[in-house]
Amino acid sequence: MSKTIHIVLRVLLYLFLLIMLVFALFPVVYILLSSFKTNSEILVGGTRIIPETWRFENYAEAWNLANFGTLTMNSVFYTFFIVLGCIAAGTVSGYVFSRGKSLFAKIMYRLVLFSMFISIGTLALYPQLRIASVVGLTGSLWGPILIRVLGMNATQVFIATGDVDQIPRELDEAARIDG
Amino acid sequence: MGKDGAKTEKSGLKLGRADKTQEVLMLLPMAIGFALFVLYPILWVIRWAWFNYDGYTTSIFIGFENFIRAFSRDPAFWRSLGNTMYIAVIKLLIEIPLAMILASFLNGKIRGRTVFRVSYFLPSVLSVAVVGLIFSIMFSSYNGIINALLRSLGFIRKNINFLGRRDNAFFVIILVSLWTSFGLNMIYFIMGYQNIPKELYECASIDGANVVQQFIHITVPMVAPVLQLVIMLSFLGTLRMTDLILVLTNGAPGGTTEVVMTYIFKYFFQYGEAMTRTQFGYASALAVITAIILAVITLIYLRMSRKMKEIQG
Repeated sequence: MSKTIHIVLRVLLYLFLLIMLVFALFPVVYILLSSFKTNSEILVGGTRIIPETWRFENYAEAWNLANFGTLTMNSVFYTFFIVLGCIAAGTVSGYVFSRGKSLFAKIMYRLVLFSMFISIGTLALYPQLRIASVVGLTGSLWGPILIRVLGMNATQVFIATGDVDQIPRELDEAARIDG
Repeated sequence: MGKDGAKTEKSGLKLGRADKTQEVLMLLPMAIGFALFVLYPILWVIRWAWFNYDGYTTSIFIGFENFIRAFSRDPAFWRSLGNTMYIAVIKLLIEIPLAMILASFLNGKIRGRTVFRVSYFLPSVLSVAVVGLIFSIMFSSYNGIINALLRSLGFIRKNINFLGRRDNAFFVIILVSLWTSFGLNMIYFIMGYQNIPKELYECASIDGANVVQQFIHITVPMVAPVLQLVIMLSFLGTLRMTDLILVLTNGAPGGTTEVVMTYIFKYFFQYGEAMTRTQFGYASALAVITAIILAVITLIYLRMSRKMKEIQG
């Protein structure tokens, strides 16, 4: 008896997981397959998910028309330097916030903490642009990178601070003794 | 970067000598960046909130006028704030239990759990603008696939106007934002679950506790710190939602699905109908009001949920 209940529960569990799977993947699959459709097929609509005629030229067109190569390169460039920069900035400031005893470090920590609760949203873009143009960063890829890296992402600073907190201080002392 | 990393380590080792100067030097680049790109914008917004300023003509100091306008003559702003809260609360009520339950299923030994995990997480990777576009195509009232599917399955006779009516549009907005974030929250919970010692469950099952009891009495209290953080991040994330709304409904119909950030955005960037000129001053005032409200909510939440953090400790 209890075995049948067990099997029924298992089936229900998988059913639930599968429903969520469809929920999560359907839009992605739908848009992926639609990317091979012709314009008229998309406009007509209907329930067909798989395209009637596979039109691979869509991709070539998009690549050429939208100058996709350059755009992709730019994205990769941004991601690479922002991630690198954030790791460097995050760990350095996390270390200082965790171990630092100077007044400066304490004040900075409070300010970053405070900035996490203030969200002015998109309005920050305009003054940021003004500053960037004063410093002469506009029009190049480095502007957004610097803003993101130096702009002290509060979340990442706190994760880094928490991590450094977990490293035992004795390790530091041992390292110091070793020179 | 490699160089930077090495430098960090080195200065960490030498901290014995000139502790304080070194600390200051290490923080200085970040401090300058922080002052320029975080602090300055905040002060900028606070300053212009007291002015009548459109970015071109000379600004006029008008004192509290912007705030008075927001509080007394701008019901649309408060409606947008209400919408934001409504979306955030409903989303939270669905998302957190869903993510927790999925996480507890996928934390156990289940066939194909990697497939499930990756697929659930996949939506979080897509950029919000793309997501908005995908869903607005799918939910299109005239030729969208959702309407077509529902019709062919016999659930509806006439196409539903998903994005053109307030309640339907809210349904879609909540669905889409759920879609984008439930996987990420699920991953947070899985990470939280993995810190729970297995012995607890063994003891409980020896004592005769069933799965549901175990979930309520062991899992939930043990992930309370994670739960506290996820609730806050998810809530704040929803309150700050901008681009999804801009792509999906853009406040249609008639501004009834406007959320607070898009509302401010429109005053600030002269975007949308009936905006003849930018109103930096007024937008700044609205931003200040919103920021204060959000900060108060966050602080209240942190205070109220302080207990959650202590449970594990």
